[in-house]
Amino acid sequence: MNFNFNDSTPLYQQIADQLEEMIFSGGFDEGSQVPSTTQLSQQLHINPATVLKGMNILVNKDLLEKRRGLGMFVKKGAQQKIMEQRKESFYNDYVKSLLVEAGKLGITKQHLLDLIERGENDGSINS
Amino acid sequence: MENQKRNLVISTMFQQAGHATGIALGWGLGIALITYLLGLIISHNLESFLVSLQALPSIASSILNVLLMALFLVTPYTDFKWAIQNGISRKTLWQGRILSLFLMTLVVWFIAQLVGLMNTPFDLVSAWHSLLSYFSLSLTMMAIGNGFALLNRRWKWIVGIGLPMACLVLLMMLAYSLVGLIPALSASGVFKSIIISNVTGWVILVIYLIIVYALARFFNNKIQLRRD
Amino acid sequence: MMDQLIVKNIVKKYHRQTVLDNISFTLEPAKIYGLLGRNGAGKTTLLNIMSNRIFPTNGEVQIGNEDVNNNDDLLSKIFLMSEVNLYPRHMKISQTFDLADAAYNNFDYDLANRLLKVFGLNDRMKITNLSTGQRTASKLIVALAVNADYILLDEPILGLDANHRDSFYKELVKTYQERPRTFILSTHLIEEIQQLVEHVLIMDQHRIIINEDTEGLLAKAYAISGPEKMVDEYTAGLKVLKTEMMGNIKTAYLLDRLDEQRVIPDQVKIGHYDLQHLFIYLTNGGEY
Repeated sequence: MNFNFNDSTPLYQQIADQLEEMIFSGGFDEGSQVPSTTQLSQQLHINPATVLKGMNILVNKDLLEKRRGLGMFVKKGAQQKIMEQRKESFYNDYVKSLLVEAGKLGITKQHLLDLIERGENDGSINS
Repeated sequence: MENQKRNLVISTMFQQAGHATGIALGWGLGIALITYLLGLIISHNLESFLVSLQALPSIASSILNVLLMALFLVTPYTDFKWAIQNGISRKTLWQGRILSLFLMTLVVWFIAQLVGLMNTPFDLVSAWHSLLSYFSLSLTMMAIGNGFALLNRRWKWIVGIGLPMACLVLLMMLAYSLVGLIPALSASGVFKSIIISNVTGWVILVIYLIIVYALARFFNNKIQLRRD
Repeated sequence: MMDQLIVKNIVKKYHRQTVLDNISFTLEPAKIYGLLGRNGAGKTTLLNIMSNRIFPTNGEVQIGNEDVNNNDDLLSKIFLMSEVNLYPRHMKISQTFDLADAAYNNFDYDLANRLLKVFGLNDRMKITNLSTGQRTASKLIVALAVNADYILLDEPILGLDANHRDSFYKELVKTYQERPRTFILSTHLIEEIQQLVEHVLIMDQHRIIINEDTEGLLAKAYAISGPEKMVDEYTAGLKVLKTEMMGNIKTAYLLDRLDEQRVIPDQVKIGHYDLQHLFIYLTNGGEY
């Protein structure tokens, strides 16, 4: 895990985001245990309170669950939930900035659509 | 908690004293012994060698006397440092040190008495006087040592040279007055008789002990980590 | 229930010089604090006063509303690991452990022995024979294994190489979780500890100028960059610690909440900067 202290996002949010990414990309299987606050904070030497805050964000997003006496586990269906959440925010996260950048470069809507087609036919892209 | 810490001070002081004693006795007696052995080798006189061996106990006793005085003169700041490192208050440090002083002085006095018994029969009065002088001396050393612990390097020089000079001058003046060299004071025969009488001797001693004890304690409570 | 450690209006003067100017703050139990300040800011003097090694000119240090001065029970709750060595030179490391055990009780020998291996030491070594790094390590071991509620660490990473620093941070977090207590890390090496400390105290010019949670503090550490005029407009009236110009682009370093009402022009970028830089900007002689 990598952290950037100059980032706009606070450290606990970065922890939450990176854990979420690992769940989404299959780094953690559903139902499996994620490293405990203890383990993470020791490994990364980050204050345990910060790590806990990050993990609680994922608990609140219904992606992780605390099992008493055992630890933190990835909830069933977490991947699906993440996908849905990201679909919702796709517009804000990607489309908006795409349009802004295209505007700066003077790329028209037709040109954009052409580029998307080009992307679909591009074998080097996995989609 | 306090008793435990106080006892820690006492045991650590005894440990360090024991260590120093071992070294001092080892060297002191060792050198004495070697000297005597050399004498034996040179003169082949076994008898005189054996006689000179009898001096060893009193050499040991003298070494202990010096060690006792030196210990309390030299250790206040070092002891304060490890004590405060371990959360021992100045109050408890004082209790540990004064008890150690008391016990160690007793031990050294006792050994001196035993050695003395080799040559002179036991005399209660002189033993008692001896005990008092041992205590006066070690308490004085503690007061001086504690006082020095408060001073930084520069002031140590100033006080270390100035104070003895001042004391010397005061003593000289006292002596002169007794011998009639300071008319104003010596004119008073009362003054003379006060200085010399027996009872006064005791009173002075008690007052002295109280002052020196109070000073030692006062300095102890003012010790701080120095900057130099 | 542990009590708070309260530093109340501490003033320290040496002759006419004021070294600590009315310092007050409260330490909570079981939290990791950072005490930051430049050389000569007075950190060591403050820590020495808190551990009763020197006397303040004015003010008090209290635990549970009682003065710590000359109080054995309260002094048993505090432990200071300082730059200077207070042990007799010929003392062995094992003896420093034993002293801490005898004075504070319940010294964690298991942890201490494990840490000896981690730092490559053995307890028969004498303090006087140790290198700077080794000496720091041996003092750290005592500080981590001693049974006290408030552990003050003055420059705990002095002379430690990168590997040992890494080990120290791990062990610190580990023992903090196993046996929650308060640690105060006083250091210059801010970038390595910023993610460890929950609360930050910054000293400058003999005063405490910052006393805040790390998170809240850094949330206000905005780096605003863009065309000069726009940046100036956007940051008008806000606390700007420093500005830089590169070409036409100005970057303003703020320590303030943004004005929600103001529109962010497209050419203006909003980012953050880290604790190390915040510290530098605050203590560079400017006002705060």
